Amino acid sequence: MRNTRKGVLKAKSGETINVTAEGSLGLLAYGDIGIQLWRKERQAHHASLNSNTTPPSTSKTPTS
Amino acid sequence: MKKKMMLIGWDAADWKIINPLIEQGYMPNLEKLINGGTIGNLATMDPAYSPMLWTSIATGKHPYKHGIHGFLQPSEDRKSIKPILSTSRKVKAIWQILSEHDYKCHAVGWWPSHPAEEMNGISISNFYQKDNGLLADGWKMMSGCVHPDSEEDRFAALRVHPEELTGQHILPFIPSAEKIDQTKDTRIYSVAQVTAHAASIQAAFTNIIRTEEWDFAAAYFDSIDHYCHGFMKYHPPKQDHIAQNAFDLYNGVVTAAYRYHDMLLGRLMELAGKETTIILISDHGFQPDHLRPKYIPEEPGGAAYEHSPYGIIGMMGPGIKKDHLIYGAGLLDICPTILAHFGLSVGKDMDGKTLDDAYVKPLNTNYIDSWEAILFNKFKSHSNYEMDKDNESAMIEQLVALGYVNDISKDFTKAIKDTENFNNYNLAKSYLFGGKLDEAISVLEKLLRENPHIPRYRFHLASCYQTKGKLKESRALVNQLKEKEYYNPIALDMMEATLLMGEKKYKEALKLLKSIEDKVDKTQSHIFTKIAKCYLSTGFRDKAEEALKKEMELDYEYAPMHLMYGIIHYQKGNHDIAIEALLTSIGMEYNHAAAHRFLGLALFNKGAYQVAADSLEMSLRFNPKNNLARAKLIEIYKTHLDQPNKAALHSQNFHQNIKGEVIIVSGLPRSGTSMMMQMLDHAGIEIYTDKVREADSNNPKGYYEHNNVKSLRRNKRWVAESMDKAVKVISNFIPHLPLVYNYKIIFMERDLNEILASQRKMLQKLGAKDRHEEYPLQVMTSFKRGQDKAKQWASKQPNVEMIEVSYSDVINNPFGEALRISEFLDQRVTPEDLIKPIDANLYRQRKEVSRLNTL
Repeated sequence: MRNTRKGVLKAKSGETINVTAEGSLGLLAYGDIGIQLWRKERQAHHASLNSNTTPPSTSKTPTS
Repeated sequence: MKKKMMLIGWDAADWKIINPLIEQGYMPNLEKLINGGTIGNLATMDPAYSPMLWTSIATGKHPYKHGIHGFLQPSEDRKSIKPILSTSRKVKAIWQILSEHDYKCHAVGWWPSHPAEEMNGISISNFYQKDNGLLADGWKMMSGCVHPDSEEDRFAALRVHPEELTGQHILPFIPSAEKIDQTKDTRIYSVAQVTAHAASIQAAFTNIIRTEEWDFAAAYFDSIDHYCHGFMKYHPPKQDHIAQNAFDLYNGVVTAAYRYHDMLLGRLMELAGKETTIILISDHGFQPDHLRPKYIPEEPGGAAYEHSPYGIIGMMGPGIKKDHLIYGAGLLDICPTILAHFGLSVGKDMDGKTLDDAYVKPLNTNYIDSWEAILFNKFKSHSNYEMDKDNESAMIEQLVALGYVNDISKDFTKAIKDTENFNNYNLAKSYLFGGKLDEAISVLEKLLRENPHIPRYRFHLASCYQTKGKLKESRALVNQLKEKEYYNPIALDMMEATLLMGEKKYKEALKLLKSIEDKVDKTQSHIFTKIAKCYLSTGFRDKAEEALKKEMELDYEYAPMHLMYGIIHYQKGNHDIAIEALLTSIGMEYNHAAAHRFLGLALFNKGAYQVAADSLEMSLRFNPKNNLARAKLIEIYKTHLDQPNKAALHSQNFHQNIKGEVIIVSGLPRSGTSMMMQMLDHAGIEIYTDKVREADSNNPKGYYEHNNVKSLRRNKRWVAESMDKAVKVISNFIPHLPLVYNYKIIFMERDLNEILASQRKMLQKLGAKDRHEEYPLQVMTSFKRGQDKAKQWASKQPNVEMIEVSYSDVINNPFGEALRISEFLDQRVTPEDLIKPIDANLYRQRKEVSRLNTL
């Protein structure tokens, strides 16, 4: 697995879910927001691989 | 305050898997729901096929009412097969009733719900998440998945395709996934598919409840069922027939599936908030242990053999009891409970009840005859929906992959016929489950006529005939199956044994069961419970108990076994053990009148009158015609609880259940019962006799007996034949009379010394030795006890009138006694006719008795 950083989702309970390009069951379980964040992260990661110049993506925080 | 409710469906979730996972801390969110709410078993229905079950949940009705009978259906033009659709449902679903009353409703993924129905909110169909297309090709969403269709793009974008998933998603299920050659073993993709489908439902549902107003929101996840059908066979402990390599690779899938679902639940609980009542349910369970079948039968819907009969229910939220256990919940109870929760009336044509026990304050339930008769006009129902052929095929392929549907024949005529047969077979089973035996028989008879080559129709029809008491018809079908070697011989032997039991030939049945004990699948057949029934019916209670203990070791969760265990201990007078066993049985299968009745009787014997009354009332809910329970309730309310009004109400219902009247002539042997029968015969009352015992010098005018009477303890069916007739029943059998008839009992009294003398004389004439001759007092005491018990019983029954008639008074004052008897029988006979056969010569033991009295 590639170790991609980085966003972190925080649930109301205080639990955190890392947002990585590979995704996780936690992100899927988080529902629409988790999936959207994962896809953005994945897109950013692909873009960075393609350009080699794009900086790593920044963290996303939940809106719920 | 608004009563928000979220209904979450987890197909096939089972407490037997969940409980150990919670103990290990793997399901913290469900643990919160358990501790903060009410949980219980949710009894499934037969047949346990998901589209039928989830429609029953949504409508509160049996499949024979709601119209969903399988997975597929022929197209309108009968030229092709299509998946079952929401348009096939014939009755209103909960979301339609709520929408019509302006509650904001959303439903996601319910099976079947395609095309998405119009409702006062968003509905997303059960085809929404399906990956019928490659991601690279754009993965177009099929039409009809979303209502309103203006929201299609919004929700299409939220779907997750299995090709998107990475090792991060798969490794929790299959940690050694890298060892699998995916060109040969496609099971990784099936895990990805199910995981993505659940994620799609979760994404759509969370999006709706985050962004839309809602009062009622429902989501259905088929994923646990699908993970289990694929991988339960690899779940620990390892089964002997499973290869070690496959076990090592896939033994964690089911555990990971439940952990994933706990995460889904956690997010939904977070979004629902504390003001929402959450109901989590499954439609059936899934055998996780030694009860897993080794092989799945190759018949339509065979995959359901892996299911177990109890799903789960967990409820949490405002007004719901905390840390509470409910008993007796079933799938049909969900819809009425939701309606009552929102203050709407429950249709009397709904087949379930409201789950009041889950609520701190019982629901204030109102009823209407039916919602079906009321025209709803706010939201339209779909009609003439046509599904794209490619999508149809893709959906059917997925059902085939799951094992629910056999590969569709390329011969469409045959495929259509097979589909119709499968659906009609399910319709028959659903009638049977709903207690509509005649309707089930009618459907099966038609199926058999049209398909004489299909053995399972013959087998199940034989079983129905047996339940109906048509034993000859049943035996004929079993013999046909045997002759043509159509069916598994062991299954036929099991059927033969139950037939013999139906014919009261318990010894033969026992012999047969013993002969196949080592050949049969003991867990599936529950052979030990049948053996126990044979023992119990032949008076061997200890052996019956022994057999039940064997059953208990094999399958503890078999309600009929606990019921029989409870009955045995009730009969033995071990009321504490009986109560425990009966409560266990009720916990597993609530809707069983006998279990509640015996529980009530055992509690009564313990002096717990109020709870005994509650149990008996419950038994009447399931079998209102059981006058045994009603008679005991009348006694409790009158004598122990001082509630004469309730006693009067039951008394009224008791008499409504009465089928007719029987005249009983009773008393001790040689107390003049034959003489009284003669009198009634002469007076024109029809006599119930088989004339097997002929007249002799002891009873020169005949005995007027019937052999059936001797079997009264075990067989009460014959009593119907004696309606409006007179039948002779010796006093010891009186308390075994069924309570669905009125009895006018003429109890013959005779001095016990005279009786003993008469009996002695009779035995001497017959050449037999009177072994009691030396102990007349002991024999007299025993006779007296039986007589007193019979009279005591009769005096407590609301359906029994009794007159005591002295033998000597009849001889000495025939007309006076005949007048009393005539009045007792409502002048159906005249005293003149009654006295004609009285023969004072019969009173020949008088002198003998005088001699005995002086001893």
